[in-house]
Amino acid sequence: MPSRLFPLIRPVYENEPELELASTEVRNNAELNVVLERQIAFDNEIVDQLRLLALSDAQIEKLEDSLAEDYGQPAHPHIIPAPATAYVPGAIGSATAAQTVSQPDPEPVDHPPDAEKNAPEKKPEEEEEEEQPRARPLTIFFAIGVGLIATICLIGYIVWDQMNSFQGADRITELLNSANGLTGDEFEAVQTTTDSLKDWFLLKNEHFTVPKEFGFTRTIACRVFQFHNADVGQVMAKDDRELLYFLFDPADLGVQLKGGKWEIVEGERLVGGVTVVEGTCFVVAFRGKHDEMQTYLAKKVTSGNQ
Amino acid sequence: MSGPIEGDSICPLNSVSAYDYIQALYRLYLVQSGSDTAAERAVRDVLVEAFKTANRDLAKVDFDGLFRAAFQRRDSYAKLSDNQLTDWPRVLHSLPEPQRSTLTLFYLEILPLAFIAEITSSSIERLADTIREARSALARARQ
Repeated sequence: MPSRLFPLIRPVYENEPELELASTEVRNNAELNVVLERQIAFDNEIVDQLRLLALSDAQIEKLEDSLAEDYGQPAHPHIIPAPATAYVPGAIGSATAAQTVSQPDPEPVDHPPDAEKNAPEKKPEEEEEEEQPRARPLTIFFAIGVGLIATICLIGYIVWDQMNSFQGADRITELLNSANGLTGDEFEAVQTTTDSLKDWFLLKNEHFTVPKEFGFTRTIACRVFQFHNADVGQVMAKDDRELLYFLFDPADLGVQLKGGKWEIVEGERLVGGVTVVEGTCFVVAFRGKHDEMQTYLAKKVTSGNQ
Repeated sequence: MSGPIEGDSICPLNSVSAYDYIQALYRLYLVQSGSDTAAERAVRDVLVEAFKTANRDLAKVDFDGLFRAAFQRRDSYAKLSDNQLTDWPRVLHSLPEPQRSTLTLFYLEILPLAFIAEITSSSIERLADTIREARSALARARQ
């Protein structure tokens, strides 16, 4: 009498521990062995026909696309095994073994025609094309976000820079830098107060106005010189430090500044405070930095207003 | 891997690719539904879901779980008299459940017997009985 497990015996299952004993028993019994072979032949017919039912390459590709589309797969998932992986029909496995290195089934089994048809023989170019990673939407959104933030920052910086600057600031920087090579010999000694310079400038045919805050500083020397075809008055003065004043018509050097408003411009050595008073652009400069000028002007304007 | 067949004690030499699992799963759905469209859709739906669960890593997809789920949903397909199957697969489709799905799992030859027994909620002996009965029913239905 055959074992109760006799119906389960098939070549592919014979090595399983549950069947080992029953299988050996049947194989050692000639009569049962004949019955088993008949059973195996019957089953083979069904197994072979079942194997003919397979998803085509196109269906598999569609399936891969569905997986890739789902939340944007970075790399196209490959369902079709790579050519290096041997196809083992009849092999029994589990999900954990699904991606392990293949080893040939010790028992030769016919390859199902459809499965063979479906087995991949892809051209290298196609594989290369497939292996190109696709960016996840999250990555794309992140990249777009970073780009947007960078653009906003850049626009913000440009706006901020323009708000903190004025038209003609570059010319004033040049003017400040032009004083770097002065020796003092270029000037005419004029020892008076800034307020009284009006007359001196009148003699030079210039009509410059000095802001009232600077009206009482002592002058040391003055000159009028040409700068970019504009007449510029230049005054060496002495306050709590050595100062250099520049006076000119703002239109001549393309300076546009709201009347009474002070702006600070930094040159290579000098820092200048710029304002426009009664049609005269007035620049007070000394050796120092932006912050020093800011403090100086704050002090000067406050004391001038009192 | 789930179930009592965990580890490499059963089939350490054999390896089944994701491709093989998917084809086998398709065959099971095809026998259950009798429709290649329904089978293809079912494979896609369960695989997309399992792929998500596996953090979109095909190597981590629980294919055993997919077979278990397919067996559990075996009754959700009506038997189609005008199904697209021919020959033995058509006869398989005509078998009553759970014979149909159990015998198909057995003939797929992709899962260990112990795991087939587990997902069909039977012992190995009871599985053998079901296979014997289903095989006889199959032979009778063919005649």
